[in-house]
Amino acid sequence: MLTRFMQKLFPPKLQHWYLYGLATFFISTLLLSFSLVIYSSDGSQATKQRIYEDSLWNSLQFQLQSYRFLNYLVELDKNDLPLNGAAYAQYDLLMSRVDLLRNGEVGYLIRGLTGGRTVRLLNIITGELELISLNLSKIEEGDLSYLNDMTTRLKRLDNQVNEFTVLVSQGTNKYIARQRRALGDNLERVRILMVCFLASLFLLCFCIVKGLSVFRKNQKKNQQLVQEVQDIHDEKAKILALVVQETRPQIQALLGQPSSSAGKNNGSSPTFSTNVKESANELLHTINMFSDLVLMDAQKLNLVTTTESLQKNLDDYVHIFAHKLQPKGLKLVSYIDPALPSMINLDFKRIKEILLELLQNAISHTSKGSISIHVRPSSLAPPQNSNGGNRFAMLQIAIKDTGFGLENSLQKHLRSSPLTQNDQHSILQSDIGLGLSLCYQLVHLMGGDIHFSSEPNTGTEFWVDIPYETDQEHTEERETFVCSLQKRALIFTKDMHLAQFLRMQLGDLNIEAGYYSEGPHHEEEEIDLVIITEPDLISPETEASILQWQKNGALVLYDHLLELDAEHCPYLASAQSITFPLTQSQLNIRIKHFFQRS
Amino acid sequence: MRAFLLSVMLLFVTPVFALPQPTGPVLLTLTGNVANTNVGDSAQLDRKMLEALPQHKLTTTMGWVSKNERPHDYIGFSAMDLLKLVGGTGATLRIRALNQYVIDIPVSDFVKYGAIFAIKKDGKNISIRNLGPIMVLYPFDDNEHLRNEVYYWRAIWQVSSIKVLTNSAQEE
Repeated sequence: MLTRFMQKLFPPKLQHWYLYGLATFFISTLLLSFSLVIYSSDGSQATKQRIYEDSLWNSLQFQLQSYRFLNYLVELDKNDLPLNGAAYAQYDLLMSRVDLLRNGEVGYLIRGLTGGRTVRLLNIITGELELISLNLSKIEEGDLSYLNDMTTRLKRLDNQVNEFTVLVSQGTNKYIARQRRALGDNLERVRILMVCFLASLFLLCFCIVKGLSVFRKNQKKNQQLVQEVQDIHDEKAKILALVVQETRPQIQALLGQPSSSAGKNNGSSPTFSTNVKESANELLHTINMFSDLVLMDAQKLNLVTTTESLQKNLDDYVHIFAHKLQPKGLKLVSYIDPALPSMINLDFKRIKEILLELLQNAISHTSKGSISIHVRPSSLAPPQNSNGGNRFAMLQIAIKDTGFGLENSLQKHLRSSPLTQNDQHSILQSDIGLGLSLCYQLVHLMGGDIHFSSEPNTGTEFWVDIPYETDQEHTEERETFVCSLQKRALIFTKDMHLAQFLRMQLGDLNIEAGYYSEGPHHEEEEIDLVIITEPDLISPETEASILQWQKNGALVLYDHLLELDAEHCPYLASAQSITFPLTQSQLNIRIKHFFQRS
Repeated sequence: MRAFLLSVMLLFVTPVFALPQPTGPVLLTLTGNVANTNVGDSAQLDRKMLEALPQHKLTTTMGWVSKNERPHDYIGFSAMDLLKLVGGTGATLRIRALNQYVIDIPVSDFVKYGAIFAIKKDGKNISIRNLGPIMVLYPFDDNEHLRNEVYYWRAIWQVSSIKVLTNSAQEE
């Protein structure tokens, strides 16, 4: 999925450049970031540096304070007496510096400098100062005779104090020099990293420029290819239009010839003439289908929507097939769910094409039985755009037959063919035939969806979900007759599929329909309508009941294709025939006519 | 003449109180912008006078001296109370130590961070050897923002005198 997306986003050559550039940039940025973090965030180094600085400061302060103490003692005379602890204060000041050098972090550092020499010096100095302090109490008491000895000892201590300060200073300077060197090295490394970073940045820029150049080239090539493909489509459409234009007049001329004259002129029978006409019709239809497919491929087939009556259109469509149903004795019934609006906005021309193709397919896969067309609201969500006062919705057209089912190979091709997917690219697949190819293409063009299910010797069902708009301005009530009092009907057929549809049609007329089943249980019922498609089911007892119901005012309808005679079927005397295809409106008119009169 | 008039005006504006003379050894001398003096132009304070100021407690360690040092209780006075006592007006205190080290501390540190002039450590007077008798301390343990060189250097030991300045740019 991701690979496909990447391939769509970047053509192969473009990916190549971008990937190299991005990888280099990413790695160098990562290395630089890590290195900068390492070189810049060493907190312990900063603390160590501060302790070294403190050591140097405290040793210098100690040296200074020792001179001050010496100076204090040298300048002390009788005029300064009494001292009131001033000598102690000066001594404490000096010793506080010694303490700072001996204790804490500074003391720890000094102990490690110059192999312990500093510690030895500090011990000597401390010991000497402790000895000197013994005489301080005498001086505080006013006895200045000890001053000379104290100053002499302090002067002798000067060499140790100096050496100590120099050693600390040297140690600190060494550390600082080392730190500076390390800092310099770090800076050098950072500089190298920055150069690498800049180089990778340049590489990235180069890759982007190169990639863009490839992208522009590919884009230009792509545009050229698209234009070439469009030109091919246009040319194909033109050639086919020319074929249609050249062949149509001849075919239409054939179709225009009266059957009788054609037969006479050619010396052939009217049946032959009808066959020629049908073949001509088929040929014209095939050419039209090719024309539509090519137009769709060239993206020049535009949908033209109109607001029309769904019922009227469906009635027209099913009657086109009347002559094809009769030879096989097939019964076609249609039913529109009353939940659908009567007037809808749709491209009826394309709906007709879809329906005719699916019906053609159903007829060719059904040797006997029935075919139904059920139009109902779809459970799928409609498209998310609306326009003015119109409202989008989905309807479902289901075409079901009781035939022998689709061939396995056809089913396989229909399920696996890219043509059946929404993102199809090919316009025609010989495996599924021209009619179904056109059908799938049209459904997808209209923003719909098509599915099927098929079982051997049970039948096939195709269902098509198509979006439509309801037009608020063109709403009109269906003129449907409904029996004021509920009537009861009995259907004599073994075809449960047909019976189910007849029942739905009658249900809308407030007629409760039941199927005939063997036994005496129907004889006692009050039946208002009898529909016979299979007279074999009628036993003499049932026949008597039918006659009785007729006498009571019941309507008997029978399939006009049945070869019945009044002698064997006495109920025929006052029965009416019905023809298939049987639409809702046909049945409605017949029922209305009979029951309103009665 | 102008200076004389200004001095006369200041006499009326700034309330001047007579500061008592120190009775013990002088621990702290204040100069600069101080109105209440007792020896010349300076205010000299002994331990008794310093202890008479409102005392504040602060418990902290001096981590920059020794990492392993345990916290100590320090008691001392605030710069605000000291300035009130001596009639000091200024934004900066130029503090000098016994070893002549000098540092400028903004008066606002004593309000903002609760710094004190500590005169007792664990209930005892602080000797010069133990970096007393007065040391400036910040609550380092309570406020991590104070744990840097700026405040370590401001924590001055062995304080001996303070000069109250309008700002740190003021000349001595």
